[in-house]
Amino acid sequence: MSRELLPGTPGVPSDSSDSLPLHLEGTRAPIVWGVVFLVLIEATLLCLWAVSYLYLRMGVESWPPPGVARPGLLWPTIGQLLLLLSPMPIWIALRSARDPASDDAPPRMIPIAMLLASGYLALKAWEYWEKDYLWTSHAYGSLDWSMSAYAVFHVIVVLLAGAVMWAFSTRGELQERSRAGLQALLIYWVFVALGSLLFFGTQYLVPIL
Amino acid sequence: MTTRTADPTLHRRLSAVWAPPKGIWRFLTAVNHRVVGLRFMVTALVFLLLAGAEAVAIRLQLAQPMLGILSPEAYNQAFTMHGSTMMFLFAVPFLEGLAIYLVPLMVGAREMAFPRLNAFGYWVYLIAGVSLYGAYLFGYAPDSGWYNYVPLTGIGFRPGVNIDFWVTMITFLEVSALVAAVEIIVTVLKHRAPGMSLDRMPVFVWAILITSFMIVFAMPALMLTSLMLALDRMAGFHFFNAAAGGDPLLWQHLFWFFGHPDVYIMLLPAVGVVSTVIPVFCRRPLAGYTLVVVSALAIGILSFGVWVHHMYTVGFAFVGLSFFAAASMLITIPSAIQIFAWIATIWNGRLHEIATPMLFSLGFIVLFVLGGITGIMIAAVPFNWQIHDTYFIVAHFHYVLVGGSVFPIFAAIYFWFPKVVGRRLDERLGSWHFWLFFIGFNVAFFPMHIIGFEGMPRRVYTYLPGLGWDGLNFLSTVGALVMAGGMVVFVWNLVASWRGGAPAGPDPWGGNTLEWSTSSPPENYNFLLVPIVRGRNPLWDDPSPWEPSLETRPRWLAELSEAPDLRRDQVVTSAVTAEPEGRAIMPRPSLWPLWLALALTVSFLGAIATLYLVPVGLALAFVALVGWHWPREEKLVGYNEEEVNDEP
Repeated sequence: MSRELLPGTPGVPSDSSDSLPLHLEGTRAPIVWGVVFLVLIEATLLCLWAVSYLYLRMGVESWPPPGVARPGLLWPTIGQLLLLLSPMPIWIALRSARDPASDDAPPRMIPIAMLLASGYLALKAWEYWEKDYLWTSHAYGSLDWSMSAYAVFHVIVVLLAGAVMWAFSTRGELQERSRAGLQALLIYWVFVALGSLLFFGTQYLVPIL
Repeated sequence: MTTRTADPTLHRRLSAVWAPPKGIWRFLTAVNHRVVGLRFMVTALVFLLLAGAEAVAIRLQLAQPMLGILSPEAYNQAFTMHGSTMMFLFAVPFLEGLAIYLVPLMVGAREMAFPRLNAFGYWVYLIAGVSLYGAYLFGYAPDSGWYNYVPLTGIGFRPGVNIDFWVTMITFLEVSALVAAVEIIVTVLKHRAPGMSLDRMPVFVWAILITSFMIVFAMPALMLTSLMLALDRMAGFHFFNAAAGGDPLLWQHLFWFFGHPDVYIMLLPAVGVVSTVIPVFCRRPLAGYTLVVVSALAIGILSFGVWVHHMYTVGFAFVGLSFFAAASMLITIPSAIQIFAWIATIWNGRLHEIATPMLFSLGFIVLFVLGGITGIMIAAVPFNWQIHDTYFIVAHFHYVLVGGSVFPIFAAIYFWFPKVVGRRLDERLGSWHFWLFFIGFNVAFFPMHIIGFEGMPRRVYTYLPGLGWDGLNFLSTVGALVMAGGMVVFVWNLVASWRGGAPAGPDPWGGNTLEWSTSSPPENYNFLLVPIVRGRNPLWDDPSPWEPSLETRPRWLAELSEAPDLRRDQVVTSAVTAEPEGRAIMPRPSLWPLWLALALTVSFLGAIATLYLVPVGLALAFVALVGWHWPREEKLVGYNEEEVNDEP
């Protein structure tokens, strides 16, 4: 590599008085990489959970078990759509925050994202309040309740993370130094929405197919 | 070389900026990769000694038929804890600790990517291990084997908390392994020294990188299945209850989807160790560098397609069994490539000294080949059916795991102890350790092949006289005691050499990788000047990776080296070519990792008592995470450079 890493190499500061940037974003930011791998871990777990569902389903004749109604689709679908839409405001905030004139985008947009995700939670709570079986009833119930609980837990996590990020944004921290943090939140939020979609497909479509 | 040491002002400033705290505060808050890595390794060695003591107890019980040294209950706990300790508390954590200590030094970085996550991982590991052994002390240790098969471990067959400790603490341990994997991956991909493109990375770093990816994809399976069993046992779920539509075989699928890659998670770092040690003692670069790396990658991928060979006897269709048999045999090809690469390196090199690290590396090659051969035998379905659950399997996996992982770990300890401690381990005691351990191992485990052929099942606490197993069992016990003698010599060597071994100097072996360019032990900041890498063997190819000197460095490079703002600066480079992209400010010591680990302990350990403690722990964890991420300057305060410079 002789000296090509020294100034004069594309992508490397050429002026000997230049500094390397401190606040990195996107694929340059280690925190973004860290969150991507966290997502990979959790995505693996979700996929294995869905496979486990299919494995147990293939072992029995009747799914859901006799006497258990097939899950309704309308309200779960609406809830799922709300969750899928919920990362959008974060994405808009991130785009807007590139413009120094709209520094107030994250404090305005994060609550909208939280509101949409909260709608998913409310519909989920209502849906499970109406269920006539529990996790202790049978393996179908165990899978159904546990997968929904896992999805709900993750939505609560992103809500809490969103709240903390919102608090930071109101202090003016995001624009200065933590944009990579907002990117990391967006990546995780999108994962939660898509992961929930995988569970939605498994829990609501497999029983009616 | 002078550029590394000739600037005392820079040395003082960097030492202060990167210094861990002192006293009890150091114990609680240190995040430095060398402190955390060493803690992992020392703790893992303590667990190794405990697992060894359990193994000796098991072998004494089996030395003769119908002995009563251990009761059936105590025997069950001993072999379960021996297996669980070796797999979860020793091998993987030790190799993680080794990686946490060495990877930044090998890639020319000053710190891991996420130092606080590093410390958190250690606390989780320590708490989980101590909890398991605390349970053992009070008679509540897990007692159904290290793979914890259902339905035996279901609440119906195993009431009480013994199994609860296994499912909660093993899941907790996996958190530690997973966070270590993530930080190792990000460190390797984003914090390599400028110029260390992927094709210049040391093989050890490659092996650790591949292993970390395997952990990312394998460990979630164990977490999921442990979580399911915990829910079955503690909250009345039915994942594994066949009477309610569950399936016990689901446990086996998920467990072995983790379990077989886990074997290679222990093996691949060992491959990295041996691929590092042999070239240094043979004074030539590793033969077939690219092939060895590609082989490691192939092993990592193939290992996810062989889990069913642990389940041949459960009654699958023959087509499926044939696929998994073929996949299991296929994995021998990349393994063989690596072995031939090491032989070629020795053959074409100038083997000038067979020091203890080399002895253990050679021992590894012999034992791993033997374990590999029996692995091919076991991959064949008809053979497997005959010896399933017999002592042949015990012999096979000890050849693979002790030969393939423990021997290279000893090689690593003898090789890098001088770097970590600054003193060399005694070579004469090292030889004694090797030969006692190698001979004892073969005397202990080779006869088990024969006992297995003769039909002795695994996991029995005793056997009747007159079955023809007495003599070989006694021989195995003698071998185990010889191994234990080797371990006594090893511990003596460690303690004596740590306190009074011969000074090692920075590079006692004439190494080729960057860690040998630092002092022994390395300074707090690892590298005074950020190295620039121009080849695959930096210390052999290029004697001056620190040029240009500080005075002539461009500003961006000098800033990385100087910490002008009294913050812990670290270079961020591109993932493939390692071109500088920016600077990252690494965090200073913090209590939050310990708090977070304790908060999650409330959830995991508390779940055994009552599930109501789970949300309590999660709430405490949330507080910890907010504190963890609270914006702060991360700047050293109260440092007066002029005052420090005035010191004599």
